[in-house]
Amino acid sequence: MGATHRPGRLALAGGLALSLGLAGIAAVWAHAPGLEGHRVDIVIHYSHYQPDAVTVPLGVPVTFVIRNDDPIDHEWIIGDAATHERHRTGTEPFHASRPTEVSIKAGGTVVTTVTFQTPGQELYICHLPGHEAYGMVGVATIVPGG
Amino acid sequence: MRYAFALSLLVAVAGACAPAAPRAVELMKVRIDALDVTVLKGGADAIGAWAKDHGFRLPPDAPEVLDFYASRSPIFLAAAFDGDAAKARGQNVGDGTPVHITIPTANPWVPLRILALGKTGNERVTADVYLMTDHAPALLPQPDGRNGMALDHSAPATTQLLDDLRSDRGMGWIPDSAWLSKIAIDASAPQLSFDLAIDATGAGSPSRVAAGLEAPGAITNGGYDLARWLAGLTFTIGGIGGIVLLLRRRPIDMTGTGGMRPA
Repeated sequence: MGATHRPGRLALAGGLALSLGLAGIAAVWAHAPGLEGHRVDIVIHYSHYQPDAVTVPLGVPVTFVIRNDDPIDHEWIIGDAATHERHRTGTEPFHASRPTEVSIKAGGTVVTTVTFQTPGQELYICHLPGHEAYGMVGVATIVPGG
Repeated sequence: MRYAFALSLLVAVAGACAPAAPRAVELMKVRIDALDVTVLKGGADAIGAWAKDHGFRLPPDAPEVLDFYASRSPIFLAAAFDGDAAKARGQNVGDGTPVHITIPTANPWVPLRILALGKTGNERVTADVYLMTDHAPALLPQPDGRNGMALDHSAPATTQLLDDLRSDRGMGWIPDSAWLSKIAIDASAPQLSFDLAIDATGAGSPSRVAAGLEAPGAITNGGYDLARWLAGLTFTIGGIGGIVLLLRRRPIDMTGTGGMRPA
């Protein structure tokens, strides 16, 4: 008879189980490669990248979270020498179609995920007029075994 | 170079992750010849946003320079040159527009650092700064010829110069006696990391904060007293004066017999 009068306990147990389940899913999700595991935070301040050197793994997705603290727009373009040479004379005012080429508005944040397929080093540069010469350059070192 | 975009997540959340910057307040708009002049009140972010919205292209050193000035005063002045209006007025390349602003303040402050805005490396900044004060002023930094500034002239202003200045429209306030200083600026852009603080009271203690050599104390939100207003507006005078001086093609003789023709 007592068991038939415990709806509150059942609800409590169910809620607890649901919470544990959601927490477990969240934990697995948070440790998924390419999110928490291979996340790189870059802050733009006074037209400089911080940090200006990062190490990233080869062959797995790397998520870059790029925050622009400046009151002016910036770019984050990562690639080889040919890529940067093309952008130095490019006229595209805004980048949003390729994960390796993003524009970050003043005070904004952009999240982009890139999987590097070639070991070595690639530069990330802002190609807005004068920004590269001012020092808005960083280097990503791509290493196997991520 | 090859990329695999298996997880080509590209989420542009510009502006969404950051609180919107407060907007700059336009305190005054005035047209002077071919110049559209706006006096603004706001922090560095607000001024930067206003400038972008109004077609100004801020160079990469602008964020740091905006912070440098915004920490000292919320008052800025923006001047936009209207090329079509200048052409209609018959102005030629290099012609300057004298701008006359009168502000009662004990100690003026000349913004030098902003003259280097947008310049890099070995680019030079040249300008002449003329000061007319009640007494011989104390300057900070002291122009020593090695810091990009040289004190070219420091003496009582001649009666002829004062009379000539007084004869111009709106210049009846010129006193019977004054001290005239000329500071010649010839500096590399990175060298100009300071402003010129002036103590014209005779106390001999120009402000290190006004010179940009020392950080100011905390500024209360929304609170700016008369002194801060005056300091900010002094900045605008100096800014316009610097621009005008830079743009003038012919040298101005202020030290001798009245070659100056202010507006």
